Amino acid sequence: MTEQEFSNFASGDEKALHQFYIAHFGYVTGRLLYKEKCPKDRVREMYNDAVLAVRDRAMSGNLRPDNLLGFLLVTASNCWKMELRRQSSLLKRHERYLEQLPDNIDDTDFDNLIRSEEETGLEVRRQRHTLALRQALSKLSDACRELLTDTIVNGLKVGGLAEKFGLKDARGVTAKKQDCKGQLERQTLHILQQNGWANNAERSG
Amino acid sequence: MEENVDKTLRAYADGSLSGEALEAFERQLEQDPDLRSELDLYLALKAMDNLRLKKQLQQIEVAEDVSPPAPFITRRRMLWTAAAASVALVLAAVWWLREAPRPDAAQLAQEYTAKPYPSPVATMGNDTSQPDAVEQAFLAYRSGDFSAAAAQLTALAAKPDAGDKILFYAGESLLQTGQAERAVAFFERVPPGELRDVADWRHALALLQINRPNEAKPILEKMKTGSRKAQAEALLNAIK
Repeated sequence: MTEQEFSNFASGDEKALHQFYIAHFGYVTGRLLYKEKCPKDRVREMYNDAVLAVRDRAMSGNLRPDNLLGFLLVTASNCWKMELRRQSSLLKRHERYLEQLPDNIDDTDFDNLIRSEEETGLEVRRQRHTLALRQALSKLSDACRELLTDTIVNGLKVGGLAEKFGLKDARGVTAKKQDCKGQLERQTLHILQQNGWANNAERSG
Repeated sequence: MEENVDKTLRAYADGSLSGEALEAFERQLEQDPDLRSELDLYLALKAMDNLRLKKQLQQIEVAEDVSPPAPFITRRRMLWTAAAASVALVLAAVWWLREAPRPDAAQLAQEYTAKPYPSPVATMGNDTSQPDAVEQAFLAYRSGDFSAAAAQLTALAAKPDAGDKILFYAGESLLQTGQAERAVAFFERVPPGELRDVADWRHALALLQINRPNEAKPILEKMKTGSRKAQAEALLNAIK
């Protein structure tokens, strides 16, 4: 990977992510299969988790471009070892919970979507909150959703987002972010109350 | 979120926080509802974004037609495989040398018997000292009519004064006509003298053909020092 390619990868460029994913797929999945004895039906999942974890690390500025493959291998191996120890991260448990939800939950009785803590690894309070947040996010504008993802998930600095969102400056981005977060909190609280889960919300959002 | 809290929150979510830092963050979470909300929001957004990216990656994987590789052989494993194959080859060769089926003694004896023993010298010229019947029998033998020779010679050999030639060629004629068991009796009767050694040899061959290797063995052992050493040893090996 050239410096430019790494720079793109670390800035969250999704095309660079695709290239990185394809470039190391064979080698890393091979190592998982034949060295770590990861079953074939779990290899893709472990590789995906590892690639996204490496991307997060690169985006946080805590990863150097040299020996990227080595770090990916160690991460993939650790992902599988954590699975073997049944030590999924909180994030992974959230992903699994969201993954098994139907695509359209608008007409679904939310109580039917709550599973036991043993099954999901998530306490009921968390499941309710995640459901309400997912529903609230779907009602948010694309721009708000993207801004919140860029700032909260990708950790991008507000200063660099003004142009992307057509705002005057960093202050404008911060104001827009607060506005979006406010909308999200109100919507989430509303959904929790609608489902009789209001006591679940100490503060929504 | 402040940068440090942000970092810790991310580490807590992806499971990389441990030890005292983990305990401290969990205490902080218990006491701070705002931090709990930040964590919930981060987890929901991040999990949804990860699922979106994973779907994309899955599509890329299908489009690029990539799949996990077939088992690969490392250089080290290749060397081990080659070494194991060499050892197996050597073991197989040793086994073959020790255990491979040896030629059957009876079959070998049959091969040695296939060439008839040369006719007696007397039949080559005009030896008038021999009675006609003997001459006729040897002529039959010389012409390759072993059945006729066997009939005539066994009749002559029945006389108590039958000489070594008559006894030996009677046995040899019988051997050449596939009557090894009858031939044995004539070879045994050959007296010590010019034909005794060759009678022993044909005697041993006849015994092997009728599956009496234990009787053939001592005869062949005696021959290991004579001119038929190689054949005798081959037969003895075949008997083992």
